[in-house]
Amino acid sequence: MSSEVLLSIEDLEIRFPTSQGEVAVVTDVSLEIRAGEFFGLIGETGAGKSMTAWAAMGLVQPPGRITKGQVRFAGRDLLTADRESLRRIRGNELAVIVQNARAALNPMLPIGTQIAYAYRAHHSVGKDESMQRAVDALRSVRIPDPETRAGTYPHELSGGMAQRALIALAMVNRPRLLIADEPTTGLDVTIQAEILDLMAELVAAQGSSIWIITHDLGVIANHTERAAVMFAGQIVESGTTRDLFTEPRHPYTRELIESVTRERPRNERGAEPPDLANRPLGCQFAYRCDLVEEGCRQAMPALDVIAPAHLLRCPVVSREISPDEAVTGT
Amino acid sequence: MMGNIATGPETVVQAVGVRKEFPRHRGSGTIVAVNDVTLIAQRGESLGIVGESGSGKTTLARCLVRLIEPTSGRILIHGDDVTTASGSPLRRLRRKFQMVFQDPYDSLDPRWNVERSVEEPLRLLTEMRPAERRKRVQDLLGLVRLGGNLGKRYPHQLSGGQQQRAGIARALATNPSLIVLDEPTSALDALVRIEILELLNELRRELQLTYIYISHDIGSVLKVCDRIAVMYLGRIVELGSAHEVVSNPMHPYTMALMSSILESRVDARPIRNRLEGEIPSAERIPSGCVLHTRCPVAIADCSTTEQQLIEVGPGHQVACSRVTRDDAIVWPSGWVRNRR
Repeated sequence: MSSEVLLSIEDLEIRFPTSQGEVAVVTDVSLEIRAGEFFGLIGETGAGKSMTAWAAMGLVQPPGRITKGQVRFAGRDLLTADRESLRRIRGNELAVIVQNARAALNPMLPIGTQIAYAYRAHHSVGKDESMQRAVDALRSVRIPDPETRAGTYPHELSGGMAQRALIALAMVNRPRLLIADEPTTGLDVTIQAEILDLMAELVAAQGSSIWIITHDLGVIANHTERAAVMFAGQIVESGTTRDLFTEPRHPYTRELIESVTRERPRNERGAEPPDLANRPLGCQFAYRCDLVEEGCRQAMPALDVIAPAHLLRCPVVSREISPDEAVTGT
Repeated sequence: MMGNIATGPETVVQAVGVRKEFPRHRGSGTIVAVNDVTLIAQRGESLGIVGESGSGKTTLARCLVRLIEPTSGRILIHGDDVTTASGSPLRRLRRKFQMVFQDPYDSLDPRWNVERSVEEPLRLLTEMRPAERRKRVQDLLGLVRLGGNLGKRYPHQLSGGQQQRAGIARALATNPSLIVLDEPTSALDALVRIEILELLNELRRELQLTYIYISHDIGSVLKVCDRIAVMYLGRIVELGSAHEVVSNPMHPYTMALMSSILESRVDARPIRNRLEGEIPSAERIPSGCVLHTRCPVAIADCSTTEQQLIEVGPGHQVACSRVTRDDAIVWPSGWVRNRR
């Protein structure tokens, strides 16, 4: 892919204080999203995927803190940007939708008004024009009778309609990147399918990029071109969605993908999540890995380039793939 | 219509014409959450009930274990009517049917450790002595593989998967034959979910359990269930073997539901059978066929005639007279009837 890099995250580390001391919930995360790309980040609860996205939006709040790394959006450094620069970017070039849309919308304002405010925050137009934009946005997400619906409050909407309104709010300023954090979790399957299709259609029509964060492998398989897998706050594998699903390489990715695609004997070591407060020295997955070797526990494996655009954090598998050359990336 | 389905000595649960109404929030009258549901499950069988929010599946589950009383209809468990029982006869019956809930944390008492929670049904529903109970609790924890000192822990010290194992152990305590599971894995991550589903399959085989498995997650249902009932607005619209219902759905609603499932494969052929609009609220259930306001093949008659389940194949029933009577239906372009 040759299009420009829109968002780049480099060597990100985020720490949170806990009763057991400060814990790194995200560590050594690097990723890139290009213009027009549909990118997915997969992981289970606590893997650090939402936290990574929040960092990209400058939304990591104390007591959490970013202790390392860089986030660049369209050439600008987001971690050192001042409030006004951030204000100009967020909700404009960089928009977000989250799960539970009704809670994300302001309960005190009609949805049309909220969308109109979002438009006026970034365009110098009058009330009438911004309201017209809001109605157009509601129409674009196929909310029936948008002129009337613009006057309704979030609690009057079904979950599916509220999610559509939130998408309209996010898309009204034609963002270059839409971050969708579990956009359809909690919605019924028929509504989920419609919302995802709608979102993909709008983003593609505007030539924007999308970053979908989810634990749902079906969403990743059907709606992204490239994806990364997170485990214990790290990316353990990334590549084209096709490669990840047809040839998963990391033992964790394999466990995850094969758990839904075919009958596979359960991992005898269980599927309990890792303890982030007591990180082992080496590979974070070693405690339940079938391929674990002595060396895995001694040093943190690096992300190796095992094929063009395919990165893997597992020296054991990397060695199997290319036994002669020890390719080491970052 | 179906009051005379075949029952035998192996029949564990039989529900006939179950209806549940709730009073309206505002105004007078009632809303119908479950409407004329008839089903049967044999020993060792696992019946999945799938549907979206508002389909009535959880209300049905709660009726089956008598957490709430149905407005009308009968529910027999091993031939005993649980809809009319009360007091100590009901308590005796309760040993035979138990429930596993959706949120494993909320369904455990935060002040009790796992052993205490698992012991509770033994205290309430059996005459066992303390020593016997302690022995039974240890056996149960072994059965669900909560070994080591996990039994001494409190719910907040357990992972979601461990909490749900505790919930399952508690449900199994009185040696029931029927377990009603209401979305038991929806709060769990993918890999832990698989572990729990495999545990449930193992327990069913070993203990000859009957499951009524409520879920909106078809993937989980396929792993655990032999048969599936599809509910929409309080009614069963299709019932059949899990394989048939998923790969050869007959009801327009089932076709739409199955096409919405995102398969975890990159080469899946996308099918988009879309229904008009959204599921109506339970306060405004359409007359006639409950789907007619959204159905792509509805005709005038559908808005007036209530639909009954009709046999279309061995054990496969569909409540849609369009598909059961009329073989010349013109489906919308792009509509795909099955996944095969």
